[in-house]
Amino acid sequence: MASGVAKISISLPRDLAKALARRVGARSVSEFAARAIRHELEHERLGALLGELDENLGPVAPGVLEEARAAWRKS
Amino acid sequence: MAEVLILDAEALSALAHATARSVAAARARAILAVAHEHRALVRVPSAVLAEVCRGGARDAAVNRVLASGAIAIVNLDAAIARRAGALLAAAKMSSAHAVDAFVVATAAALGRAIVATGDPDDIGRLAAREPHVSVYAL
Repeated sequence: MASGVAKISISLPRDLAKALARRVGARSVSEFAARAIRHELEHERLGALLGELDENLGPVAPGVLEEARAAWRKS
Repeated sequence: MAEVLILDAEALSALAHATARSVAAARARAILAVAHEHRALVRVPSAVLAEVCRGGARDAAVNRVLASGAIAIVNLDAAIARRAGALLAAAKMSSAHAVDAFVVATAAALGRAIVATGDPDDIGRLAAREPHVSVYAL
């Protein structure tokens, strides 16, 4: 992870900005946004990694996927 | 339900060296896909790198998975190490299982987590006292 911070300005729909301020207060917006953005980027990259594996190896058998879903539901 | 998926050495290796015929790779891909469905984070405790990165040519595949940006490494800190020690003591297991204990302690530190592992017996023993950590066998 690169060190340091970069200051950026973003525009949000008014209702979202209000909800954000209510949720975290003005001072923690950067921390909240950093966490949300990191999470979203990781989610996208995980999708890409899974797509790559599917492309190279073929899809995972539905039964194996169902077992994994059941394990997750129990967690 | 879990919010984090933790990969142990065998889970990370199974993904890095995945083949179409490998059962472990299919199960590892399946739990990774389910983590994605739940928008969960995927994490590798740093101690696991000692087991999978041996400085040889096989490291390249592991490095490729980690460089995807889909999976982040969680550094071992003093609190996690102490928690791991307590888990080893409670399970009456020796330091030979230190990396397994780091895996479970890292999972516990991150909240509700599921550990994908090639060693469900030892990980399960260590996780017995961590109610928010569950085990998924490859």
